[in-house]
Amino acid sequence: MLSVRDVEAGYGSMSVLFGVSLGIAEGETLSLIGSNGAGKSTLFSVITGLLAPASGEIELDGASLTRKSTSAIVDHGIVMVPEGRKLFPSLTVEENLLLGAYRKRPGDWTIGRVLDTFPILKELRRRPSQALSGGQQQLVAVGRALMANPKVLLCDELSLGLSPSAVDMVYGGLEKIRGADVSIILVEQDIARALNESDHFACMRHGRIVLEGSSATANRNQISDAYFGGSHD
Amino acid sequence: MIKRIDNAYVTLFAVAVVLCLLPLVLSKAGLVLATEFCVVLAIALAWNLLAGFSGIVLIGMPLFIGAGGYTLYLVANALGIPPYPAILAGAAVPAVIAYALSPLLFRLEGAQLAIGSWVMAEVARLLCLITPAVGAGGGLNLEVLRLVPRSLRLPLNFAFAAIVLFITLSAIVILLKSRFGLGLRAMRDSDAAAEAMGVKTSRVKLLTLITATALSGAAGACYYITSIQITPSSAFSQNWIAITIFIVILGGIGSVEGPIFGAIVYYLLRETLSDLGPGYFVISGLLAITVTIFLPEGVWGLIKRLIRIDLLPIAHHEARRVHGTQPTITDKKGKLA
Amino acid sequence: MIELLLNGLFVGALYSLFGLGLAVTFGLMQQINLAHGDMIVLSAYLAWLATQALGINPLFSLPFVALLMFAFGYALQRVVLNRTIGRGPMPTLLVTFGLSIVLQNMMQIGFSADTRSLQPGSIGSAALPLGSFSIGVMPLFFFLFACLAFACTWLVFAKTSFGRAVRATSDDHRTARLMGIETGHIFSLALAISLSVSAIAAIFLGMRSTFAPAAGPERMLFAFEAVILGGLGSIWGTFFGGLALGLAQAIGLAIAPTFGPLAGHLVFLAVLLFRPAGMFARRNGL
Repeated sequence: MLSVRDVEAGYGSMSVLFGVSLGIAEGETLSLIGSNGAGKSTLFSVITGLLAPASGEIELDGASLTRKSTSAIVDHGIVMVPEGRKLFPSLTVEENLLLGAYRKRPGDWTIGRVLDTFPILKELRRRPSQALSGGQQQLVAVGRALMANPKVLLCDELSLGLSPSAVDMVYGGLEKIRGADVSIILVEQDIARALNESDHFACMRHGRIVLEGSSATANRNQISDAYFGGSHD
Repeated sequence: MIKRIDNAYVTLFAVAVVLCLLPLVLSKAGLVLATEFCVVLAIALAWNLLAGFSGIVLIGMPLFIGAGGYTLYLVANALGIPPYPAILAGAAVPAVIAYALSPLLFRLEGAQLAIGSWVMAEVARLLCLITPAVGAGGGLNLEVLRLVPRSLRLPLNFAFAAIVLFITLSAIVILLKSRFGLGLRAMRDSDAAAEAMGVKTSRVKLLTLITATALSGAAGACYYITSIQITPSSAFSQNWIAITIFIVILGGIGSVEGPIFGAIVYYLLRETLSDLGPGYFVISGLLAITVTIFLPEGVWGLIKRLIRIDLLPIAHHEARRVHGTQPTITDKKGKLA
Repeated sequence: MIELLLNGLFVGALYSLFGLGLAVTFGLMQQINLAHGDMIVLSAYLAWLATQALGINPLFSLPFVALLMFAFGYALQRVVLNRTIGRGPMPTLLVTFGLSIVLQNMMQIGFSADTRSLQPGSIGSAALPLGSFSIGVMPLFFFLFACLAFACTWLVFAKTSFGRAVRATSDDHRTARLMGIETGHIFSLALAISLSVSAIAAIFLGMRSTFAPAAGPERMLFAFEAVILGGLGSIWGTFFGGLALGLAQAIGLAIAPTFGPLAGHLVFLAVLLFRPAGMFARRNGL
C-alpha cells in the first residue's frame, strides 16, 4: 500500500538518508528501530512532506506523494503522531481532537469513537490539554491523528518520557486500533516492545535499512548486530 | 615577538583621529550635519546595545533622549552657565529615570516592553505639555546660549557631540569586551542558560539599560543645544526611534560596526533623496523592510561575509575561537524547531 | 455623572474596536503589528474616498472598505510577514514599524496632511431622551455594533475549525502543518480578517472625530492598551480592556481637561506593573 523507494534526503549539505526503501501492507504494523541519528525521524519528515527528498519515490495505493505538500499528504491519509506528543497548549482536549479532523477526510472516526476507544479521555474532554498527564496526552495525540481517518499512522516515539505504566496505557490503546482499518509505522526505542507490537520490523543504521523481517521470528542477536553495527557478544 | 594590537583599539583610535580632523575640513553646513551625525549615531549605538545585544527592544527610547534635552535646558538656565557642562546632568537624569522604571521595564518582554515603554514616552510628553515649570506646550528656550560667543558655538557643539559619540563607542566596546559582555551575549541566547552559567541577568540588564539611557540622554542633550529650543512634541517624538531603528536595521543589528555603517548610509540617502519629502520616507521604510527580511545581518553583515574582517572585535579571545563569527540574533521564542 | 460614565463607555467601545483586530493578530497569532493604527487610518481614507465617489453614508462604505482591507491583509501576510515567522518577535516588530512609516507617508502623498472626517448625516445629531438627560443615537449604535463585531469575531476564532487552526498554528507551526493545516494561508486569512474588522473601527473613528495621515500611532497605542489590559488571548478581554480605557479617560477629563489621555495611559501602566498578564488573561480556549 505505502511504498518508499530509494529515498535520499538531508539537511543542507548534510545527507541523512541513503537510498531507503520500505513497504507496508494494509492493516499491517511495521516497527522502525534504530539508534538515535539513524534517520528514522528524517524518514518520517520525508513521508509527511515536511522535508523534500533529494531523490526517490513515495507512493500510496499507486498515487505518487513525492514532493507533495504536507496538507495534500494528510488528504491522502498519511498522518503522524509527532514525537513528544505536541498537543496544542491553547486548545482544550476536545479542540485538539477536532483539529485532527481539519482536512475533513471521510471515514468512521468521530470524537465519540475516539472517546469510546480511549474511555479515560471522556471526562477530560473540556480540560486544557496541558493539564493532562503524559500518558493521557499521548492518547489525545493518537486520537487527534485518528480523527483524520488515516490509512497510514506514523507514530514517533510514543513512549518518550513516559512512566512504564503510562507506556502500558498508551500501547494498550494502540492495541485497540491495530488491525483492519489502519496501517501503522512505529518508531520505538524499546526494541522488545517494538517487536511485540508489530507484524514486521525494519532496522535502520546510518541512514540505511540494514535488516528487515517478521517481528514474530526476529532473531535478537541479528537485530543487535544490525542496531549497533558489528558483532555482538 | 610582536604583540598583536587588538583591531578594536586601532579602530577607536582611527575614529578619534577622524573626529578631530573633521572641523578642519568641513564647511559650516558640513559641521552642522556632522554634529547631528554624531548625536544620531550615538543614540543608534546605545539602542543597539539594548536591542541587539541584550534583547531589550526599547521603543520608548525617546523618553530618555527627551529627558536628557529637558534636563540640560533646566539645569543650564537655572544655574546661568554655558550649556556644555550641563550635558553631564543630561546623562545622569535619564539614567536615574531608567533606574526608577527598571522594575516595571524588566517585568515586560517582547511587545509588552515595546508598547509599555512607548506609552511611558507618551506619558512624559503629555506631562511636559501640562507642566508650566517646563514651559508646557511652548517648551523652553536655551537662553544661556548667549554666554557662548557666536563664532564658538558651531565648533563647540560639534566637539561635545563628538566627545559623546566617542565615549559611547568606547563604553560599548569596553563593556562588550569585558566578562560582562560575555554574559550579555549568553543572555541574548537564553536568559535561563545564562543564569545557569552564573550570569546575574538582572544586574547585567540593569547596567546595560543605565549605560544606554545615560548615553542617549547625553546625545539628546547635545542635540537640543544645537536646536536652541525644546518642545514636548519634538523631544519625545517617535521620529527619534524611527531614525534609530532604520540605522540599526540597515547597518546590521547586534554588531557594533552595523550602526556606524547604517548611519553613513542613512545620511547618504537623506542628503540625496530628502527633496522627495514624504517619498523619501516611503523609500526608506521599504528599504528597511526589505533589509529585515532578506538581509537580517544588515549591510555590515554583508560586507563582513564578503571580506571577512572584524573592525571592532568584541568577542573574548576564547569565545572567538569557538564561535568564529559573531552570533546573529537568536530568537528566544522561535517556533520552528 | 451617569452621562460622564456613559460617554466613557462609548469612547471605550471605539478603543475596543481599535483593539479587536490586534486581539486577533497580537493576542492569538502572537504577531506584533506596529502599523495597526496606520491601517485603521488607511481604512478611514478608503471610506472617505467611497463616500466622496458614491455620495453614500459612510456606514454603507463598510463592505467596500472591509473587502479592500481583507485583500491587503491577506497579501501583506502572505508576501511579507510570513517570511518573519520563526525568527522571534523582533523582525516582525521591525518590519511593521517600517510599514507604519511607509503607510503614513504614502497617505500624506495621496491625501495631503489635512485632517478629514466622515459626515455621519442625520444620525449624527439624533438623540434619545432618557429622563433628565439624553444619549446620542450614533454613540449608542456604535456601542451595539461593537458588541456585535466582538461576538462575531469571538465566534469565528473560538468555535470554528478555522479559529482552532489559527490558534494551533500560533502554538506550534510544525505540528499544525502535520495536521494538514496550510499555515501560511491560515495566518494570511487571520490578518485579512483582523484588518477587515478594523475597518469598522476606522469608519466609526471618522464619523466621531477627525483623522490625518499621522494619526495612526496614537490609535495603535490605544489598541495595544486595550488588548494588553484585557489580557492576551482573550477576545472579550480586549472589549473590556477598551471600555476600561475609555472610562479612565472620561474620569481623567472630568478631573482636569488636560488629564484625559494621560489618565488612560497611567491606568495602563499601573495594570502592567501589578498584573502584567492583563485583567482577563486565559491560556486555554477562548
